[in-house]
Amino acid sequence: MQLSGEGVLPSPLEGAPRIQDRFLTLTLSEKRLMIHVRELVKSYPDLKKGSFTALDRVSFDARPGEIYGLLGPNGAGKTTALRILSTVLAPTEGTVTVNGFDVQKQPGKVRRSIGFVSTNTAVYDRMTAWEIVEYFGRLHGMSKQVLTERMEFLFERFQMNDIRDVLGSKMSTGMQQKVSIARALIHDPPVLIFDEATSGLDVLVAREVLRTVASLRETGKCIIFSSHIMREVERLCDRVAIMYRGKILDEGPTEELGEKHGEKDVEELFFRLISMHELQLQRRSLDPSEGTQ
Amino acid sequence: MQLSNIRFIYMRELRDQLRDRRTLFTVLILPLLLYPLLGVSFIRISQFMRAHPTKCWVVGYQNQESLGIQPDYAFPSLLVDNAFNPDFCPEEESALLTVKRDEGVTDELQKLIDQAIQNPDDESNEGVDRRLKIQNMLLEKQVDLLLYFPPYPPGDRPSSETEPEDSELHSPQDSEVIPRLFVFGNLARDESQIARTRLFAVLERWRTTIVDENLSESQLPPTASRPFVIEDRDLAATLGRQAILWSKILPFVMLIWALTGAFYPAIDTCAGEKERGTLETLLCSPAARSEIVVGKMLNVMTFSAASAMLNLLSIMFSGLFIIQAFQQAGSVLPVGFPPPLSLLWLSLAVIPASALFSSLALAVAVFARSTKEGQYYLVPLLLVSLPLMMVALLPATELELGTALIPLTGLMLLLRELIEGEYLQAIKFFIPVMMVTGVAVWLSAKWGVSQFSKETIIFRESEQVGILSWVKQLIRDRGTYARVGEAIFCGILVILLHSFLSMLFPPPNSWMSFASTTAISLIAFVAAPPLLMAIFLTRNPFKSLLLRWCGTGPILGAIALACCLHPTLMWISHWIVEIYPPSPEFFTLQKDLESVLLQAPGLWAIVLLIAGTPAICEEIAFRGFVMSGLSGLKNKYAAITLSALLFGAAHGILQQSMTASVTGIALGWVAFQSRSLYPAIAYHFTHNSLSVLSAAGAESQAAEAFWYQWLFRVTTDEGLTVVQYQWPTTLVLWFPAIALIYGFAKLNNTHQLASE
Repeated sequence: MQLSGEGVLPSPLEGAPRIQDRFLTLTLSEKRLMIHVRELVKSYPDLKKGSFTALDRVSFDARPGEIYGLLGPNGAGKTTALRILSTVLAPTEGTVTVNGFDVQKQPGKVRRSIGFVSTNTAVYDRMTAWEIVEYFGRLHGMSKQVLTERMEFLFERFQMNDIRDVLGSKMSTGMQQKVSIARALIHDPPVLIFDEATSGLDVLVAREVLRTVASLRETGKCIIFSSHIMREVERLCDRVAIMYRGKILDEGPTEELGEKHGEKDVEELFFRLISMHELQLQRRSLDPSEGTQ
Repeated sequence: MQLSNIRFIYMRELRDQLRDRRTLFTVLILPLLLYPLLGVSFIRISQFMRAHPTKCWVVGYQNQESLGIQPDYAFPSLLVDNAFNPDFCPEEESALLTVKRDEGVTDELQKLIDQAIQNPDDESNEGVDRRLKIQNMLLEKQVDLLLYFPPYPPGDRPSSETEPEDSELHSPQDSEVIPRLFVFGNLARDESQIARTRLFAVLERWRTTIVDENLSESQLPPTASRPFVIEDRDLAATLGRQAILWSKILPFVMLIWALTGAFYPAIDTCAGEKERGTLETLLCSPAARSEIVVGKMLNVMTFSAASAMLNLLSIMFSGLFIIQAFQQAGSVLPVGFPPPLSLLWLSLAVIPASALFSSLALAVAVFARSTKEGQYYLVPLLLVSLPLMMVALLPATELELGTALIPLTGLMLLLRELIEGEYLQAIKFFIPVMMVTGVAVWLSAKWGVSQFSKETIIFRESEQVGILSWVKQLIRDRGTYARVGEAIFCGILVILLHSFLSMLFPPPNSWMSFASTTAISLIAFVAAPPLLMAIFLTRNPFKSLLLRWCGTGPILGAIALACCLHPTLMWISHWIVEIYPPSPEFFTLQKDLESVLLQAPGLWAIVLLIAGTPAICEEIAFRGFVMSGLSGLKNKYAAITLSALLFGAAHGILQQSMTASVTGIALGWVAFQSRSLYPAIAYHFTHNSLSVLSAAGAESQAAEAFWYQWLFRVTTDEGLTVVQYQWPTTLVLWFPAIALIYGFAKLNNTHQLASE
């Protein structure tokens, strides 16, 4: 069963002033690939192994109006992939485009096309909710008037007016996450990236965040949602990539994946894929010729 | 770069910092409180020192006859009515130095005093115990000092039965021994020190009076004991005299606070943001890395400059307050009010100083993962900057071209001249100082931006430190060339080995000892380390040392280039010696070397030793291993410059190091462009040979030849023969040199050494 944002939180963009940005023109009719990742490799120098491959030939695509889930345990490479999508990290190999812009050649345009919410993207302790959102709006080149209208709208919709003048350090985790989402949505980007966005949140706040994400899909946003919580991904995402040790083991709509592997339960499916992968690795280590066949 | 983004980032950072209590306290509040508090404390201490009454216990005053004064002469008495004689201790001093006469002198004390006089340096338990007992007695009697008049020359105290006779025997008039007075005090106590200063002044006046009266009694003029008096007359203008202390203090305070003021904001804005998780939020925003760095840097700079200026204002106002307070109290301090224009000069100089420290602090702080870690990293920055500032405080350091070219030192000295009103001297060196400061600011800002662009630094994880796994990694991951770190390590290792282990050899006293120590030192300490490192740390030592045959063309080109550039390099060497004159020891060493070289079997031997051996050994080290490893920086100019600097540092004497660094750039260029070590060896050999041959020519008949005089001019400096090229020769040779440099430029237009 998919989670819907309907009835819980109105679309944050519904009735919101649109930002005229030549990079951000998007309509729902445009079903072109919003995110295109091909053969993505990311490796880091490692003292013990020489090199550690965090992402090993990862490929996936995501379209507007779709929530694409990255499901995997800690260390699977989800955050690395999303950091590359947001141009914070550079890929070692492969191509990545966001909204048609190459992350390496046009990083500025990519960053204007995305809103990024992660456990690693905190709010400023010594700034109020209003100041934080306004600051990022200004960095996105929004004019004062448009920015104010947009902020009024977002603060109203996310019921943040009470915390307008509250400093980041005084906010609860739930409040901080709301501010983060408002900050990511301020410039009305076509792509939203949520990296472990519910991690560390209590059940109520997590549910609210999930419903917000679901409501954003309906406005035509392309959403990448990474999590290690299987139920969350199952209920929210249209398509899922199961990641493990830097690889995508399989991807597709959750129902299709269940049918394909004979497991309706995502959690069971996840463990099954991981076991198969481990088995394959063991066989390869015993018989190296198997991997080449 | 978008200026609007820089402005937004700057304003946010500024607001953020202004809301941080720690930064506000350290950067803004502390300076406003510190100096006034210090000033008040200083005044209080001075008042205490001036007003605190002290007491002196005078023991054995009746023995003053033993002081060697003419027996028939009634000498002036030190004490009058249980106080010091007003002739020696004026009324105002007398109130602060009261007298306690013999009361309470026990036999035990007398014994202790006698023993203390006889064994002044007794550090045994008994001696220490004795001193403690005397100290306790002083405390018990509530006195600060004990002035003791011994009855006889100490150490010869007679027994009571024989005293009268012995007294005469030991009478100072009959003895060569100068009588002594003893002052016992505990100088670990401030009161005792103050009392001592006051008592000594009184005793000195008493002694002078006795001397004068003794002389008068002997019908000798006072000039017999004081042939002249010294009177000091200062020719400095009042402003200059007043400025002298401020001109040293204020620039130092400005720089030290510009540095300290940059620390906390830099740590908070980099490591603090990493720690709080807000840096990644900013990195995902449309702001480019360079905009983020510039915005943050401007913010750190604002706090650095504000901190420096607030400290300066605070110290100046506190100074004014202290001086006024002393003047009102009738005391004169050896310092005047701060010169009014000093604030203008300091506020102008604070801009480049803050820019330099801010960019350096930011570049260092971004490496840290937490604020705590950041504090550790910034301490070395302080340790590097402090000596440069301290150089300018040394009494003999003056603003001249040599010091003007040292970062921070030059700026401090320039400020000193400006504050002292020496504008002509300041204008003379304004451009070099600003040039050096500007280059330092530019380089540090560039470093800051590059640090911020490296994901290995921004997302640095905690490292697992293990020597074994590190060594394994070095061997497992070795490449064609050395790594950058290995190259720098090799350079530093060679410098250290060559500098320190060469000292173990005795100074050469013959040609043979000179030749053997030079050859051993070059082979063992310069060539061997890179050779071994190339074998163990690279996959192909032959390639990593650039031992690739490049054909005869580049080698001949290098020889020709060495000949064409030699005159210019000799001139550079000459200018360096002019700017930084060598010490007399340098000339002594050169003379010793000349005398040793005269013992050589022939010119060929000198060329072989001074040109051949270094050409091979030093090139293997600095162009072979070090520069090829530094090519990992992906910037050939950086690789050439760094290897040249390390090459220069390997030459022990500062002046030689500077010339060698410049020559190293030419050598690096030749090696990098030809991707081979052989042209560099040929260049090095030719360069050194020309130096030897031109010097040898000056001592031979060739010096008389027309061609020699056309090429060179020979002078002497401190008894040493100096050979210099004629200007026209130097300039003419630049034309083929440019052609050859261009030719080498064509060989390799990449930043890589590998040709494939």
